Amino acid sequence: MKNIVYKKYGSLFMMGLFIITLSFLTVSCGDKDKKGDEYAGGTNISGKPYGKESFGEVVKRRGLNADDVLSAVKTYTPDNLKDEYVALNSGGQAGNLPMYAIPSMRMLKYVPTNTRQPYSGFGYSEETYGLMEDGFIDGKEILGEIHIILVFLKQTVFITENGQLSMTKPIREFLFTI
Amino acid sequence: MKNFNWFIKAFIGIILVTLGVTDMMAQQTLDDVKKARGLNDHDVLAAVKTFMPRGGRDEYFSIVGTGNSGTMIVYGLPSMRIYKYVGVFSPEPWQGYGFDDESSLMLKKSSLDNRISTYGDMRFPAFSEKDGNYDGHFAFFSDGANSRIALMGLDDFETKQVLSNPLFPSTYPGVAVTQNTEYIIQSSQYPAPWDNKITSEFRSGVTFWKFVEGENIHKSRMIKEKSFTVELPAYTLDYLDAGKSNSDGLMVGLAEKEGKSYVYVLDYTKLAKATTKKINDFNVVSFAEAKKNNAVGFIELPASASTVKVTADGKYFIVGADNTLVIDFAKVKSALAKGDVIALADVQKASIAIGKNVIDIAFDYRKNTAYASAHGDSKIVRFNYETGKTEKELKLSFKPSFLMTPQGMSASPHSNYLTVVDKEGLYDNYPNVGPVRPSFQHLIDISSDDMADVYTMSLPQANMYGSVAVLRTTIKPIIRYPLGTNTRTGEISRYKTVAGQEKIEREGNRVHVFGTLIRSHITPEIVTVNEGDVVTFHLTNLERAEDETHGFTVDTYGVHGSFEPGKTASVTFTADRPGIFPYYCTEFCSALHLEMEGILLIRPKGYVDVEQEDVVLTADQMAGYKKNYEDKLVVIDQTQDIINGVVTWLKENKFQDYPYVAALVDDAFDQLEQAKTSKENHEKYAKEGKYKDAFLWAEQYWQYQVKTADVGLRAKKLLAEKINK
Repeated sequence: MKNIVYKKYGSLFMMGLFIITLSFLTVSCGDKDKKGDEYAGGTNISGKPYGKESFGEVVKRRGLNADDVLSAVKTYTPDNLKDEYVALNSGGQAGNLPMYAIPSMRMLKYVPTNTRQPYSGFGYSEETYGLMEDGFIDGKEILGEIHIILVFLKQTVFITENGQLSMTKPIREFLFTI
Repeated sequence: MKNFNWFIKAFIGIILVTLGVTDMMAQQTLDDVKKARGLNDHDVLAAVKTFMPRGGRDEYFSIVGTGNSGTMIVYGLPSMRIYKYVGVFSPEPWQGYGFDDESSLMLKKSSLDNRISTYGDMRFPAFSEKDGNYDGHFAFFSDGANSRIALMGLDDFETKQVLSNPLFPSTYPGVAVTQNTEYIIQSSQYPAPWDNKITSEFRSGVTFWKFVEGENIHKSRMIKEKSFTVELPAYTLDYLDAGKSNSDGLMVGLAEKEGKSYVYVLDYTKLAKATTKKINDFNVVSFAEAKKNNAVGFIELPASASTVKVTADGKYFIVGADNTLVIDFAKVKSALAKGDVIALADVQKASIAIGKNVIDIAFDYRKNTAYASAHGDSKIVRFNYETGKTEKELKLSFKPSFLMTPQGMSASPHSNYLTVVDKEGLYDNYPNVGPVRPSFQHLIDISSDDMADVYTMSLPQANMYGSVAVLRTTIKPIIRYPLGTNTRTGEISRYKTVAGQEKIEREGNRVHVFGTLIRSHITPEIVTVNEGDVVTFHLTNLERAEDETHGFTVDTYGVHGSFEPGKTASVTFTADRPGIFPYYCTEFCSALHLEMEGILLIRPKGYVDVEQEDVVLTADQMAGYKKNYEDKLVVIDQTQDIINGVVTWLKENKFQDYPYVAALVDDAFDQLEQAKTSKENHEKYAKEGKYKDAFLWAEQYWQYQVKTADVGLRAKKLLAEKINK
């Protein structure tokens, strides 16, 4: 237990020292006059170009700490890297199913399930309206609320209303046919 | 003494070594992640430039239309994180937009036949301006599909007004705003007759929606009666922009007919004074009248163009094309006085060869600097419109389309960021989730001469075109509404209900429920109606705490409302199926969220009520309630001690000096104020020996106490943070 705590906070402490050291270095050789009040709170009120900045200068200007830097590199996913997971989440009272990628946390899709969606025409075309119609009560369109998502057999997505559960799947296992 | 020296030396030595070692180890940690994830130095720099930790570092609020989704998206720069989807032209279930009565009424008013269009097509938004700069008050959108125009208040990022254009069947999905927001300019897109008669002639036109800014956001609206449309020949119209400073009073747009391309120029100060006629009860300046007033001109272009944008200083407008043209506004102004045909040669300042399929132009803080996107060459070009020279190029891994710099359409554009839309989602790393892909937008770092692509944003449910971004600090968003606000009109709703005033009113088969929402109750908890009744729930969220939004739906009745703190909204439905239907809070509001429920009892037709006798409690039961009541009183005392402790601490630390903390403390005392009735009731019933009622009211009193304590503790935490800073 002690070891874990040490591991967790020890590395943060060290990272902090690293950043402090780094910021000392960058402050001493950085362009001092452009770090005035106009950048207070990370806001560049004038809109002047920052100019070429080193890693340390960016970290300082944006007020990032060691945790932030590590989180940034753990989640940043450039176009040549693949995200590791696709997550399905519940849209709650929006009646749709948001999908996003992990670790970049970028949104991929809102799959309409229980409510109309103008963007994809879900609930507007004959085919999709028919699909929604199956869930109508006394022939009336209703607003859906999703909280449970169940994915079976890697092939079909079942969506149930109410409850709380969301799930993620590694991309390699991800086979989406709806 | 010697020992002591030795000790100091050793100690310093250890520190130095530790510093060195930790430096290496920390370096290794960052390197480990880099190596494990295959990131290079450029990626790491890009990561720290865009990463947004909690507490926020975003510099700009950016808004973008979602094209055919009819909603607006708010995102942050440089994190490119999505903050909000806002219903504008089509219903949006999450916030009950187009579901609750207030927003439904607003949307119905925007149609010519009292219908809610479930669709919209919005592409190029614009912000309100003061002296050519964004004032952070409003944003405007045009609906290309259903000919509407919308006004968004940036105090709460909500739609406040939607109007139907009474003339154009087809509208260009973009707007321009004049430099002091006198007019919101909207043009037609495809020519069509304006009076719904198939025999009439085809027309085009430009509508100047008169905007009147009142004492507050809700007193500020577009006024249809004061607006006018100028009639143009039947051209297909495209992108448009308004002049600023020296060119204030003029506007420019692209037009096309029979393979020929034009820039049209309008002098709207002259048009505003011209004689008008009425078509569809709307003021129209005829083309002949516009010509007579020297208020319209056409410049024929050598090739088709994709955009026309006015420079920040208002001296020029730039026609985005493969050979991008810089046109002198002053010369256009003098040419306009001579007639409506303006020769390009007389007004052109420069022609700059950019590349293949130029799509868009954006401006920069750097003097006379602009960017162009060359779709066919997959590149961004930085050029100087004064010298007519290109300066830098950035080769991209994708085909760029629409561009945006923060504050970019204002008189003072900002540097550092350039967003570039990619309409194709052809990425090796894209996890395929079906044939429909999100829109993508890249963030280009333009802070130095080495421009670099630093982030790829994916934006689903959006067909992305233009964005506009304003400095985050320019916008002053509210946290809560004054209690009982109809958020669409800004007025205090006549359905506002305060705690203790909840009631059910019936007139024939029309039932109005006046209810309240507060953690963790929906009041009333039971509503009984008859089959066939038309029922409206008017609900007020009594919360004053930050982010305490409640939702409301009646199971299987397909109604929904979202109630941000202070908001009053109504949902109406016909109770056409008898039975028992729970209603509940749809937004996860607190740990006691699941307790926010109630029962709608719909009695079948012909149902006869059977009188039920009051249940008499046995002596044992009564003794049980008495004990419960007494136990509760102990808990109430303990909770009060906590509250008193917090209050003393807050006073000692001068909470009044911190407005945000003071607001929370006010909120806490408000909660306790509401508890007064509960206290009176439980004491009264205890005196009468009715311990069941006494216990229930004591329980209610304690609920308020808990809320008070909760807000108080939050205030304490916040104040502690502020003091420690």
